[in-house]
Amino acid sequence: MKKAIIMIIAIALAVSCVVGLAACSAKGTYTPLEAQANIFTELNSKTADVGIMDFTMANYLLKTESSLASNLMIVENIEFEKEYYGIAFRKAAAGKSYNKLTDLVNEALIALKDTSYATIAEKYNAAANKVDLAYTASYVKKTGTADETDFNKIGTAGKIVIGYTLNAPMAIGSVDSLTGGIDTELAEAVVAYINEQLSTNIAIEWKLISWGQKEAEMEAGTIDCIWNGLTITDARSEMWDITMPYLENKQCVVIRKADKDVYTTVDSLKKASIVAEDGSAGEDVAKELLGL
Amino acid sequence: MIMAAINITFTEVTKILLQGFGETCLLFLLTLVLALPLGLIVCFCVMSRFKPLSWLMKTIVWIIRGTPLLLQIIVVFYGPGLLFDYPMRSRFIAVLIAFVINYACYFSEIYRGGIQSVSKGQNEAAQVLGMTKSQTFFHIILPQVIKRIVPPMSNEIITLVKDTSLARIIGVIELITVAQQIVNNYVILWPLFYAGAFYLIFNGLLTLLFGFIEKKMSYYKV
Repeated sequence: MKKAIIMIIAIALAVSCVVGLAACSAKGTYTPLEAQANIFTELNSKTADVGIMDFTMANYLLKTESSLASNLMIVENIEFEKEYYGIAFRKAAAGKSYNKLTDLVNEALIALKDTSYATIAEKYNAAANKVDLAYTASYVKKTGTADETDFNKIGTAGKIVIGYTLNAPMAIGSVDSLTGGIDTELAEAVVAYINEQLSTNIAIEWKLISWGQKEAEMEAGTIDCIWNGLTITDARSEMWDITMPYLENKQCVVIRKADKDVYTTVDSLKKASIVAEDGSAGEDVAKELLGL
Repeated sequence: MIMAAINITFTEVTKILLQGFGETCLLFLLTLVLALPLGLIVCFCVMSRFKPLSWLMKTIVWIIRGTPLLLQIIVVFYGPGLLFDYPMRSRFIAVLIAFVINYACYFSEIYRGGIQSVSKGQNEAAQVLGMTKSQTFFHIILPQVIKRIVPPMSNEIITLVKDTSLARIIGVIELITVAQQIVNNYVILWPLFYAGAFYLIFNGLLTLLFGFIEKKMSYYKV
């Protein structure tokens, strides 16, 4: 009996060692994280070597000189494709061409581009990333029949529920209140404009969500809109009705300052342990890099 | 990557969930095998007559039982890198260590309850028969303790099966993580409930197993 117990414990320890050692020699791994800010913790505690995240957030946080930020840097000469942020609403039902809310927000953005939007962008140091808001060849004004279900639902409820994550500088605050941010202020300006134009009285309810859950929340109807530095991708455009791009962004590579000479080219990243936020555009970049 | 246009079949979902479930089972079995003996050691330390050791262990048990398991996983994984500059490279081992320590503390309290509920008369009778302390414990006391602790242990073990889902906080793949990924990629909700069914069936089997063990151990009533 005693021998059997000792054997079982020894086998368990051996299996654990094998699993543990397997991780040590693993090259080029990708791990999804719950939030973008966790990337900084992972890099500082050396449990990962490379983080891929939005440039707007990385730039803003690294400038704050906090204890977590002082050891990290953005790799200058590795740049990924330029991306654009858009605002997402539910896709129109079959038979209708677009969601009325998308069109309303597009119009509001164009109207505010030189006034409220310009001020907000200046305030958060993002004037350089502003997109010239106008209908272009690649984004034309919506035509056809509008799906008014969401608009009516918001009108009856008197509020629009917008999903957000704490994503400086797009949304800044704490878990129970937002104190500022590009998206926060822009949404308020746009909704105020829409209220003025249509004589409605819609309020914004900001709902804190987990970024990996945004698809489920939109599907279930617990949020009406995603307005939180959402990168426009083909897959997302198929899933949701997205407005015109309003801010430029790109994914960037964040590493420890000590590794400055190790990660200089895209190839050097392929052997690193990479982390990115679960369900983010950074995750797509990381998976593509590693061929997953 | 969102693949909303493609539909995923039931068998494909089952295959993916089974992989995740395999990882969950591995974590569960390793934790169980390592935490059961460790719990006994902790229990002896707590009950020892050497006061400083007993006091130290009681404090440790209080800290481990008093803080969330989630926090402990985070501390075990990020702590070494942030504090001692010696990073924890394996996520699975970090989760395993956190789980083993946590459950050993919970088990030690159950063992202590079981050991102290055995009547002193048993020790005295063994002493009269000339058995050593170690013989008394392993041949007389422990079998009776095992009989008594099966119900509370079954509680803890079933909780362990479900607690394995906390491993996702540091990116360890297990059943809920895998189900969540399917939900995110295909924009459907039912795989999460299907994962719940996996847990339910596994816990059902464990419940049957514990019932069987209890019946086997009721060979005499003291």
